[in-house]
Amino acid sequence: MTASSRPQKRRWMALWLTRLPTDRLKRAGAAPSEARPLALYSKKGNAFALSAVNACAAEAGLRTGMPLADARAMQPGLTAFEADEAADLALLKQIALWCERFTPIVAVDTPDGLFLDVSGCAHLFGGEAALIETVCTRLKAQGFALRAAIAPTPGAAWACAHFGAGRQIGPDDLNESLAPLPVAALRLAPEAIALLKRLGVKTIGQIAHAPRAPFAARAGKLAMLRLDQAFGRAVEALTPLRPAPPIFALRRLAEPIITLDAVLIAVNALCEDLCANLDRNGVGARLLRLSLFGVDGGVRALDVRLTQPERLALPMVRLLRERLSVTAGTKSAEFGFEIVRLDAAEIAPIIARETDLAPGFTRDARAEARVIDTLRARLGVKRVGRLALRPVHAPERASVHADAEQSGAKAPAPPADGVMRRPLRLFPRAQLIEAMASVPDGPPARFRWRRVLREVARAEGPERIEPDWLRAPQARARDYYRVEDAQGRRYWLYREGHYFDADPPRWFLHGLFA
Amino acid sequence: MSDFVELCAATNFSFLRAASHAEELAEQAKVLGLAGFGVADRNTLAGIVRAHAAAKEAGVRLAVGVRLAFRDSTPDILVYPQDRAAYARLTRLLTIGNRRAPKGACWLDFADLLDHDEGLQCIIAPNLPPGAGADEKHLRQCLVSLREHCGAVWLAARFCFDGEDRRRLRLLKTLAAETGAKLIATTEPLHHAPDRRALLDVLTCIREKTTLDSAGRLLAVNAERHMKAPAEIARLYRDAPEAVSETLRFLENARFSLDELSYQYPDETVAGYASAQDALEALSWAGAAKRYPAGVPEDVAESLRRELQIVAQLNYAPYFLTVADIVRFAREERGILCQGRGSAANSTICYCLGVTAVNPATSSLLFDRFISTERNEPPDIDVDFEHERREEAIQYVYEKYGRQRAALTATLICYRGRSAIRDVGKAFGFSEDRIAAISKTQQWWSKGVTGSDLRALGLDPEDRRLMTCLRLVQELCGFPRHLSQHVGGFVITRERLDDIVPIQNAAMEDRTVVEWNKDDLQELKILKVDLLGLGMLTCLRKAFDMVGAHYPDWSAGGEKLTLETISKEDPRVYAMLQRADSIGVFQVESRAQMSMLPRLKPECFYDLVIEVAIVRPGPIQGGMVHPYLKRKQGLEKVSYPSKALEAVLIRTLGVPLFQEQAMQIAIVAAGFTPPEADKLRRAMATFRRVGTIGKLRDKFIIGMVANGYQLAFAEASFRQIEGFGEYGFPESHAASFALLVYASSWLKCYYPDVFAAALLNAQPMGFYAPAQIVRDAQEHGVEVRAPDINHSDWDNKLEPHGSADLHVRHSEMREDIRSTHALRLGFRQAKGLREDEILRMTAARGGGYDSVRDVWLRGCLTPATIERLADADAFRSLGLDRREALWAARGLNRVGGQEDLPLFAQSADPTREQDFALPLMALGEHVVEDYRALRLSLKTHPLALLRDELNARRVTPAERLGDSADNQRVRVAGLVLVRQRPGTASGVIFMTLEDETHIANIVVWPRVFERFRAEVLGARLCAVDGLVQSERGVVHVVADRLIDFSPLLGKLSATAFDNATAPADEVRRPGADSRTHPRNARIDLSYTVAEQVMPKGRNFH
Repeated sequence: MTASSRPQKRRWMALWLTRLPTDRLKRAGAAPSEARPLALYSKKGNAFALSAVNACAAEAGLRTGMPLADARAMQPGLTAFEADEAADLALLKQIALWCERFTPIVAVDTPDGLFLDVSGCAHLFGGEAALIETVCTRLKAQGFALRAAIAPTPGAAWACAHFGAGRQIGPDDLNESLAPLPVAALRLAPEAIALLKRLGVKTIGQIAHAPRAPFAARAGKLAMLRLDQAFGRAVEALTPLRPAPPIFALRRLAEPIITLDAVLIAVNALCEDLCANLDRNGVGARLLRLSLFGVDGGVRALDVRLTQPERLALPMVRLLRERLSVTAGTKSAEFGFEIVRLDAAEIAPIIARETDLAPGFTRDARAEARVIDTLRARLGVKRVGRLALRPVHAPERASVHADAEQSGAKAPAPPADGVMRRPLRLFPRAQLIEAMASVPDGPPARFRWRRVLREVARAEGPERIEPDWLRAPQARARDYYRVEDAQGRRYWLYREGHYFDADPPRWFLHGLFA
Repeated sequence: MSDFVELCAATNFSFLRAASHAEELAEQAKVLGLAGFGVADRNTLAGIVRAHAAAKEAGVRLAVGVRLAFRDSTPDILVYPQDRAAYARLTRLLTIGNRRAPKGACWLDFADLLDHDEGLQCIIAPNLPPGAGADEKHLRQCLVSLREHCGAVWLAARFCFDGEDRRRLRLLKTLAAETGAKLIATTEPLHHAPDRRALLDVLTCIREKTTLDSAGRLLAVNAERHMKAPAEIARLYRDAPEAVSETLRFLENARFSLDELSYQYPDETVAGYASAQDALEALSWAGAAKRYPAGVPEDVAESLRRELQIVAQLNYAPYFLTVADIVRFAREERGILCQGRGSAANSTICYCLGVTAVNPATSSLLFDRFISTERNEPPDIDVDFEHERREEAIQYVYEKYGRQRAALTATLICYRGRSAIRDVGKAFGFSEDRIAAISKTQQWWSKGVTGSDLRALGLDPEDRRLMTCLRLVQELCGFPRHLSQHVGGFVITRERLDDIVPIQNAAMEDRTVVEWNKDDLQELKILKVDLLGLGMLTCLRKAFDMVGAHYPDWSAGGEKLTLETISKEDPRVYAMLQRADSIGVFQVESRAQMSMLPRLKPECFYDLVIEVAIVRPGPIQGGMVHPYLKRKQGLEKVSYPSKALEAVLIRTLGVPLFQEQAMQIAIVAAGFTPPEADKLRRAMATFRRVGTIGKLRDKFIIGMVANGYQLAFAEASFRQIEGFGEYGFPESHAASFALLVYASSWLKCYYPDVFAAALLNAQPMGFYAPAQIVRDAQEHGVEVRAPDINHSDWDNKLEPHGSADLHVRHSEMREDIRSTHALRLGFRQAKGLREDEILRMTAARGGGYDSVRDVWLRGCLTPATIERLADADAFRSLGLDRREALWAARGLNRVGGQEDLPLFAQSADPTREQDFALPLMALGEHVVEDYRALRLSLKTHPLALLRDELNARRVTPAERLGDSADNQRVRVAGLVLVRQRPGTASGVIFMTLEDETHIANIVVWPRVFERFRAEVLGARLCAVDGLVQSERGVVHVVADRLIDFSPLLGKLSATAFDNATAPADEVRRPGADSRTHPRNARIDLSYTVAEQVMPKGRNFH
């Protein structure tokens, strides 16, 4: 998307979210209150420096770039969080999407601004002044501090939003409006701004009509380019927010469709198209995004994530059908859908493996993945998981419900002799038993569990596991024993506490081997 | 006595792998009634001296060992030398491993052990997890080959409490029987008591760079790696009792003790003398004859005879010769200024040998106080060199003795408050910010963490996790963290050094370090020489050279100016010091020292010795400063606590000020024996163990009271000793330093131009920034000239004929000042320039440069360097100010390539570039830019330009403070030079402000600080409202309100901008919030820029 070379026709709005990072925290509820100083920091070299502050902190004299330690010394009550540029960007993109209600062309101006091409849009909102008012009021209501301006070029709009007095620059007062603004309003690299300052050039007006060659030779070509862009003498290319997905399939329908069956037929066709395209590229989809464009202007979208890259239509259709059948929102078609689009929003290469000529009893990873995908499409991603071992000492915390995709890579290696040291069945709560044992740490000679007295024939132990001193400082140490009774049944018992402690020790049965 | 010895204990010198001090292990071994214990740290002997001392103290036998961890798959092997020869093989083995590995690591292979295993008793410590069996074969091989090779092999059977100990014990028993090794019982303790498990886990996390929450199975599963009682061991090993009794047999053969290290100092043979003692005596007498051309006075001869006799008795003659030789080399062969100090340095011998210039007769120091035959403690001489040239002396020592016989001593870096908080906090998974918040409480002006500190930072003292963390921080404090190299302590031996102690690589190339620090060496009575760098010596040498070059007729005699030839006891020099005119003077330039000078009124050398020593934690904590001042000023009668102490305290008017005196009090008044007194000193200086100190304290106080001293005096004396523990400052050091105080004062008094130039050329050093040094020189009538491309060198230098007005404050010195030169600032004062480039430029200067382009082509400077020169405004001699020069510099590379210039430059330039009219730079802007490039401005003081603004705000100039009545309310404002919060001043902050007239001393009480924290710490231009207090010419303002005037600095450069764009204010601040918005603050031209350029102020404690 490029600006036209006739600036008088073009109108650009620049938005500056003046406190985006702190506003993000405030909206997330992480910030204490508006009246308390809040700052974000990031690592600069070896020290932490503030990267953003809220209005209250700024009022108290804190500045970005200030070392965190200094800021804390000045404002001991300061709440500070680590900066999260990714989250800021995500939020900015979200705002950009929201802004698409004003114009289809919205570009992100990192780290905290947006450009909106509002050429020919303003009248829909009652004129430019009203449009600015609307944007500002509605974003402020959502908790964002911002400044906005409209000008014939993105550069001028930016300058005006950041440094200008007014909110609009007409096509004819570019010169007058920009001339008094500081050179920093030109979006130059900091070094270029520093050089201009050292040369005594403070306002745009001072260089707007300066001899170009000596100036460009010293301040860099970009200085002149940015200047020309602001004045509309050079074209500025902006990339709109929504890039085309890498691979997608799209159907325009002659007649709007309403029923689920009709949607499924269209989805079926889209999947075929998409897969043919994926196949050509040697990749598979990791994320499918189905967009249904309604006649009413609304868009319904749903995502399906795949455990492994997929390029076969059939499983895709199956997953989408599962998803459509449980997603109510997409069914409210009102007047029906006129366009359907299927994006492979994330793709990954597919590594082709030879198939086993004589498949035995092995794990079929692909089949497993498909089952998981189907379950997740139906039940939701978080509800499908698997058990994994964790490398911790406490037996009751050693297994965990993990994400289905995660493999148990961190699980401890099994003993070299292959003998199982942990019971097959571990009781969620160890069961209190009565036991007779020799002091201080002998295995039990006999014990009573479920009212049956069991004679211990063989035993090994103790394995001493002490409680986590940080989590449970009051808990007592346990001595575990593997024992076998006269009938060959094997148990995992432990004694909690030691003989000769103030409290007598207690015996528990924690699990059963086979 | 029991029949078990725990042989395989690890101390916390197995860095981050064990959780107890050697002292704790020794104490525990004694409490449990072990027959002895063995210490084997991982690939190091760094902790063995402490273990040795601790074992002696506890009366437990120690087996000296090392746990060898190999880089091949060999299991850990613990080795214990049977005798001195085997020990030497062990230290060599470790040296090999250290030297081939990067700093801090030790790479050993099994084959290395086989080369050095003669006389070593080896315990193989297999690590067999449950179900292991695969390793057994490897283990067997290792056992067999070691058994064949050295015969003495044991197999450690550790009780692991993993459920399979009996099974493992059977396995090991069989293995031992088959290979002929013997089974030995041990728990391989990592801590002395079970409750250290938490700290061990934290150490594991620090080592593995993980957190307690994610370390999982890396953490200890139980607390069984502690030292166990013999009865418990007997019970555990009931299936193999022979393993327990074997420990006794093992200890029987591990006979080596560190006491056997008969350390041999190198023979310093001097040609023509039969022995070192003969040489020393001859050289001393020859030196004495030179010192006293008129004949050696009888008292000097007497003390020299006595000292030589003591030295002969203790056989220390070679040591003195070594020091004398190093000093001779530096002074005579290289012309490096150097001076000895330390306990033995202020002896008549050293004075005669020329090691020190302090005449012992003038300071009445007693030699045998430092080297007593009874204590048999090695003498200690530190030699200070010019800091820029110390390396030459170090290389000389390496060259003379060889790397096999000389190495640097180590410095032990221990966990202290902040480092401990950082590492423990990380292990707890606290965020960096939270850690910073906690460690904030430990920062340079806070001691310890208290509940209210925590609450103030938003931390909850009820938070169990946090409090556990802080408890562990306390436990970790004092733990060794790593070994580093001592700045200049050398160990020199006659035989190979690696037969005594393992040697490691240092971080610096070409340096090798032994594993022991100075305390360890002292414990073993190993001599060391400290070669240290001192900035003031660099300054003095440069000053002496300059006096020689510019004022050859400085004295009637025509001799060269040196520390020796400087005129002594000059009343004019003392007069200057009495006025506290001491900026730049060695040691006495700090705020506290400056306020002490007018009260102490030094009038002789010994007063300077006291001045140097008095503003130190020892005398301050002991509450000795004010009593001394009162007596000195004659406000209080001089009296002595007792007749016995009169001899000790007579020189200091009955008030103990020096570390030696405190020790003497312990001996004379509290009934300590000299070794006990020494132990007391060391207990304070090194890791503080509450138990020991408490015991010593009781003994001290009870002893003194029993001898009839007042309790208050006893307690004050002990507090003073505690103060010395933090930073011991003995009289012998003070005397050597006082000499430099005098020399630097002398220069400052008579040749302020030379002094300022030398001081600037020796930077960084001292208390003040170049701006204050320059300003002080100007006030003393020195003309200072700006750096210039056609006049300046890299160094600051003197140019003939220049003078400035003497400031009225120093009018007393009109007759004293002999300067006639002007000081030309050198390019070393400018930021970002490189010495080699500037030297190339000055070498090519010839008749001078005539254009920026000329500098570029002929001076071979890069455009970037020329730009920096332009920033420093160094093109004035070409008629260019910094902005014009910058414009020219920027055009150099861009307009045409370098190659086309020499040829085409002569031809008329048809394409001469169109010129751009650069905006003129205002004076204020220039000043700001001067500060940016040079950190000072010769054009004017920034506050002079703001004086109208300040007058409008009713600010009093600093020089008028002296006229104000006591307790008058004033407002002063100035650039913040220094903020100081001495640990001894209970939270008071001293600020020094500077305006164009003078400096103002501000006192901020803690209460006020809490209210104006931001201003105190953040302001660069600070205004203070408060009451004037003056005492003996020292004027303070006690602040009750502080205001940050920094934004005013913006006015310095704002004028031009404001004029250029009349409605600018409106334009720049469209919305209410944009002025304060950080983005604006960064971009906004005028305000913050100037603010940030001005010095931030230095913080001291």
